[in-house]
Amino acid sequence: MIEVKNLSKRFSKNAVLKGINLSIKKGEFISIIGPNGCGKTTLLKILSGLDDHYLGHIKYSKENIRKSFIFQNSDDSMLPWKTVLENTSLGKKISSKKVKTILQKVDLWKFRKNYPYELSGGMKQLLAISRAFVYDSELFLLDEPFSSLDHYMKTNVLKYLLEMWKEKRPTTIMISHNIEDAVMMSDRIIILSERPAKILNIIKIDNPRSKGTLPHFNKYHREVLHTIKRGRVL
Amino acid sequence: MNYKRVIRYVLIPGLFFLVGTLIYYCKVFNPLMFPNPLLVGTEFFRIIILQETLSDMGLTFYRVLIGIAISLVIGIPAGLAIGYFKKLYDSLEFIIDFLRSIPVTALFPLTMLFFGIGDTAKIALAAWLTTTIILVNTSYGVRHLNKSYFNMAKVYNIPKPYFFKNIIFYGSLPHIFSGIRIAISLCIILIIVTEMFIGSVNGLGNAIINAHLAYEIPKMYALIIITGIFGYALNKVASLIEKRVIHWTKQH
Repeated sequence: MIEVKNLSKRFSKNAVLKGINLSIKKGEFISIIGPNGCGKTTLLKILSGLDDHYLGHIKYSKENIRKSFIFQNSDDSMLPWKTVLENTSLGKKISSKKVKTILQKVDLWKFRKNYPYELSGGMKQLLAISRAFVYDSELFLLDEPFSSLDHYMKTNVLKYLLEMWKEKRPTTIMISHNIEDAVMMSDRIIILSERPAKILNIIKIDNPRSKGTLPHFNKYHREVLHTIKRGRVL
Repeated sequence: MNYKRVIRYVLIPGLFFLVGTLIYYCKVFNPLMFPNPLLVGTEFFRIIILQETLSDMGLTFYRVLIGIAISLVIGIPAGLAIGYFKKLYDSLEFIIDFLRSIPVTALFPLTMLFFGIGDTAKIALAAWLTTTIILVNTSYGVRHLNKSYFNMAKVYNIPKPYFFKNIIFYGSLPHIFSGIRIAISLCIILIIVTEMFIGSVNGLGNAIINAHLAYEIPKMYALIIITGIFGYALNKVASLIEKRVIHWTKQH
């Protein structure tokens, strides 16, 4: 789906990303973990096409891939003057039946006439995620989607995200600070170093997203932690 | 009506009235300059009941309204364009800042040269003043829109007409409305002044200056109060419309 070759990025004099090589298959769920300010969001923005000032090559399997970007702050992707329903379609021609089905699935249909400021943070984030599914996006880019949610809300949003993800299996790249989430959701976890970010390790999860406790959960968890610690020392 | 409203709309104005009466009876000022508030009150109600100023008020209202309407038609699209296209903003910033720094009263003679002393001159001055205000506020609104809306529009490939109408325009509305409120206040001031000094035979400003010239001082006071109520009402209507339209900002 995406081939990233020798990707580097600088902000004036500071190198942010350095020689990133990555190959992402269709339908894969990838998590990116790395220290604060290491360039995770920059990487995501480059992959989404929002930032095109970089060195290196990015090749997509086809042109005009339908992408969705779920911002860290859900308010950033909601038009406060539009209702939930209008925020879902954003002026695109989408069958109302489809919008209804998806909003019903995430229990937001009854709020369709409400405005974003009348929803909780979790509901807004859920709406942003639902929108990506309504658009049939082929590439999901999630920038710490749960970081501003409390535990209960997070569990809820995560549950709906996984349910819908399993149906459509869009290629997904998620930035996360939570190792547990990353291990539970992903096919592969990419661990970045501090600035300038390089890939420290890629951990492949066998039998990902299995019901109940993931076999070897602790092993993966340790491996991620270990890589992060080693990266710090280096 | 709760007691807060009674205080606000009855008690405090009543207190002002009483203080006025006190000033009058203590002869602080010459009674010719500062008449008995009771007399002003009678004059006020006489004017209202006989509807003496209705046509003057109507004409002042008409001039203000046309001035504002012209400024909306020109100022909003121009402001949106200048706010959105950075190059346009960069090239026009100086000249706009310069033009709006010219006190509009300095343009009186020039306007009379072009438009004479009729309604056109007054409305042209009002439109000039309010257009600059609305234009600057609108472009400010666009430039200070949440940048993530632009990212969102780009990632989701939102159709351009929808983007301009529903993101750029709607997003700037709070700033456009604060521009409209400033514009209305200044427009009333300007229209009243032009009615006084640019050969007018009607309008509230003209009525005030006529009362002054005829030395009908209580009437002059009453007309000033009526003009105040007129301005207050216009601002109130504008802010009511604003609250209805921009429902989302009260939440933040």
